[in-house]
Order: sequence, then structure tokens, then C-alpha cells
Amino acid sequence: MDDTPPTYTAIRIIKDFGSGLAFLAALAPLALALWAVVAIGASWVWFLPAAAAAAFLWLVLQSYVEVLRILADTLMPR
Amino acid sequence: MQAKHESSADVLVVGGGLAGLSAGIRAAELGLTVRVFEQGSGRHYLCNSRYTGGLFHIGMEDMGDEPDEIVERLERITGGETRMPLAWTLAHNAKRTRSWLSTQGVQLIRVGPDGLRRNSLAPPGVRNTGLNWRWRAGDVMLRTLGTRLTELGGIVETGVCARELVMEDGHVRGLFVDRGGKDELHMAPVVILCDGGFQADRALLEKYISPAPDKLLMRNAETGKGAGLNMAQAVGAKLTGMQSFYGHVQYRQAMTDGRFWPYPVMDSLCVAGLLLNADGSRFCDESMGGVYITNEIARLNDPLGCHVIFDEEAWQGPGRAWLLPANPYLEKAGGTTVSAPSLEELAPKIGLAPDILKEASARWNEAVDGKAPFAPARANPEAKAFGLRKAPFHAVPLCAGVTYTMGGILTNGAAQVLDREEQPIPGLLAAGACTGGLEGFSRSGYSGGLSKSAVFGMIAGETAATVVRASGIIRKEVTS
Repeated sequence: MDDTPPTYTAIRIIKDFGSGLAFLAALAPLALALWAVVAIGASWVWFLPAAAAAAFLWLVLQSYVEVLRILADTLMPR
Repeated sequence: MQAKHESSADVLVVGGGLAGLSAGIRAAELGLTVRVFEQGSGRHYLCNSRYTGGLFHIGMEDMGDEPDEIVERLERITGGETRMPLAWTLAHNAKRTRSWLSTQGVQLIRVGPDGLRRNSLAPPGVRNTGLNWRWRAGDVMLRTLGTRLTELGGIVETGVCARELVMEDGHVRGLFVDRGGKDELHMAPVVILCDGGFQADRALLEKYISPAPDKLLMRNAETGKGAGLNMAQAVGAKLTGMQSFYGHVQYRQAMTDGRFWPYPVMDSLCVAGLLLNADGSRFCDESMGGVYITNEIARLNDPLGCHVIFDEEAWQGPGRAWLLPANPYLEKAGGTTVSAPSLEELAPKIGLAPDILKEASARWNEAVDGKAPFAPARANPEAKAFGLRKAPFHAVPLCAGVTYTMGGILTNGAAQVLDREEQPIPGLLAAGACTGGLEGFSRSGYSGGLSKSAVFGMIAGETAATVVRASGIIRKEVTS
């Protein structure tokens, strides 16, 4: 008999570190805007849509992490 | 063999399944010292609770329904034979038990739209054929409860078989157990029997259930051998409702092939189709449902001689009904129906003479059409019978799968074991599948093993606390 339950490595990583990863991923639009302003001289106005995109991205990713946590807590073998 | 005095505790529990652990935890919560003896060994010791798919229900409906509704349901499914104190206690403590289990770390989630699937253990059992208990449902529940009991100071000892109750002046005072071939004596003011039914004991099955116990499918962990029942009977306990068990109609190959049990089950096909014994005769009221049919098959002289015969319409209708039904799960598991374009061609394939099957099917079709009465009669008008008309015609060879026996030690609503005059035997309690009086009887009315074990296990723990407090002695820790 298997002496340990199946691991589901990717799910476990997202469950444990998903909130931090979601936050980091949500910074990407802001980083892109910063790069655009500094490197190619784009307008600072681009920070506004970048901030909106970052907030939206964080919401989507964080909700995914939370749903995955619920599923992991209730459905995953343990 | 010389018995050695080993230990004392406030409560000794026989059996480490759901009922036993519930009893032990509740007693420990109430301040008692608890020792649980479990015959199985290892972290995943086997018992029926380990195998469960995890649906907590009462009579196939929500255990959280209103108590009056639950009592009415239990009366209906048992034809009024359920013991009212037990039905009342189950109904009035079901919600409380559900909440209590939650506080112990047992997660219950909804896994379907109906009451049956309103309270399922998490993670739920795999929705697949064959046995898939590891790391899910009952396995997680038992490990969770075992850990909880240990946290409360209780002790779960595996590999120990309870053997005999110790009586003094009509009062249970302790227990002899067998540990690796050595007898030990354990003393306690309360002993709680929770070691499951007698489904795995061939002699008891032959005495109470079937003339051919070797021809029944052990749809269980094969650990319930009636030890607690025998011990209780030896000190004067009354047994009740011993004739029926919970189980399902299964594909006959399940007798030798684990892919076909505990699911798929053939119940819905048997309710709708023509169910014949080895002689080609109908033998029971199929409209009473799968558990009843399974019991009736077990009572035949040849429980392995039955077939259910149906046409394509039934295969596409009731063949697809209920949990993991024959269509399509039988074929997914590697099984097959016996099929033919006509009943005459089907008959020899299932060992029947063509004229016998032709006559049986003609009588069946007449009864389905209302032109003649069913014989045996079908009492439940809600269970539709399907005629044999649309080719191809199919048959499935059957066997009776026994999960747990529904009769056993008679208890009252406080889980106290009753003697033959129905008076409590002091110091002796019981809960779970070793008890009788709630379900089964002549209709094989099924209440639900998990709800019964959890509710009466918890109540047994509470009664134990009352008894021990009344005795005036509460030990601070288990001595050894």
C-alpha cells in the first residue's frame, strides 16, 4: 500500500505561496509602465491604466488562489 | 491461560471505527479516561468506516431534516418496526452530531443536489468503480478522529482483540482482551461495544441471514465478526432484528474480482426489470428497493443463481439511475451484459430453458400492462416495472453484496445495552453496527450506517460520563 497520499505538487505550491505569487504577478503591468516611462520616454499617464490592470490582475489571480485553496481543503486526498 | 491485570480506565471502548472513536472522544471531552481496543493493526487498520464513501444520511435523505420528518421516514422504511426510542434519539440528535463532528475536524460537504448527498465526508470518495478508500472519506475521517482522541488523552491500541466481558454482581466491570496471544484484564466502570456487525462471520450469517453464506459477496472490510455481539449475549443482552443487512445487488463476477464492488450496483435494474432465481421464477417484491432485493437474494438456497432480465429501454432508463449504475459503469469496469436479439436466444446464455423464460416474460409483460396481477405482488406503485419488448434483450448475473448487518444488540436511546427483560445491563453500552432495533426488520429498511454510528457513538460517550460520575470515581489518567 502507498504510505503517502498523492502530492499534487503544483496545487500545493499555489496553495502555499499563491497569494505572494499573485501579488508579484500583479506588479507586472506597473513594471511595464515604469519601463516604458524610463526606457522609451512614455507619458507618466500610462501608470493609470497600468495600476488598473495590476489591480484587476491581482483580483483574478487571488480569486483563483482562494478557489484552489477551497478545492484543496475539501477535495484533495490527504 | 493466566490473565494479567494490565490497566484501568474510566471507559473501555471495543472497536476503533466511527462509533468507537466518537464514543471515546465524547467521553474524553467530558473528562473521562478512555482506552480504545482495535483488532486491526497499522495506521490504516481496516474496518467498514475506513471503506465508506462518506455519505451521512438517514433513510437516503438529509440527516439535517426536521426530527419529526426523520422519525416518520424511519417508521415508513421499516414498516413501523423501528424501535421508537432509537428513531427518536437519532432524529433529535442528528444535527447536533453533525455539528459536533465538525468541531472534531471532520469536514462534511455537499456533493449533490439531493438529501442523500447533502453531507459527504471531505475529501469525498472517488466516484469510480472498485475500492478506492485510501487518503479520502472514511480514511481521513478515522485518522482525524484518532488524532483528536489522542489529543484529549485517550489511547487507541491496535492489534488487540476484545474477548470477554467481566461481570460482578450483575455489573460490567471490565474486559478480557487478547494481545498477541496473551490475555489481559482491563478494569473500567463502563465498557462500550462498537466493533461492527457480524457480516464477516459465516456461522452467524448462516444462523440469521442466509442458508449459503459462502455465496454472498463480502461488500465490507471483513472485520465485523460479531465479537461484541457474542460478548453482550453472553452477559444476557437481548438481540433484535438479526435477519437483515444493508447491502446492494452486485454483478456476480464481483465475488472474485475487486473491480466490481462496492460499485457498480444493479439495484435500479432489479427494481425495474424481471428478476429471476435459478429456477426461472420471480421470488420477491422488487419494488421494495435494492437493499430489500439483496436480502431476498441472500435468503435463496442458491444466491448465485439469479439474473435480472431487461430490454433496451430499461437499460437506457433505470439502467442509468442512481449512484454509479450498471450503465455505463459495468462495462467501464470491464464487465458485460449477456445480450441477444430475442428472449429465446437469451435463455440458454443464462442457463434457462427458452420456454421457461418465455413464460416468465409473458406473465411479466401481462402484469406490467395491468392485465394480470404481479405474483409476487409489487407493493410500491412508485417503482415502475419495465416490460420486455424492445430488442436487444439483456441479462446480468447477480450476487448479493453484504455491507453490514442491521440487527444486533438491543440498546435504548442512551446507548445502554438491554437484557432480555429490556432492562439496562449496568456498565455496558453499545453503538454502531453491532446494535439493532433502529433499522432493517422484515422490509430491510435502511437508515444509514454512518449517521447511526456517529449519533449513538457520541451519545454512548455522554452516557458513559453520566455513569462514571454517578459511580463517583473519575481517573485522572489511564493507568498501565
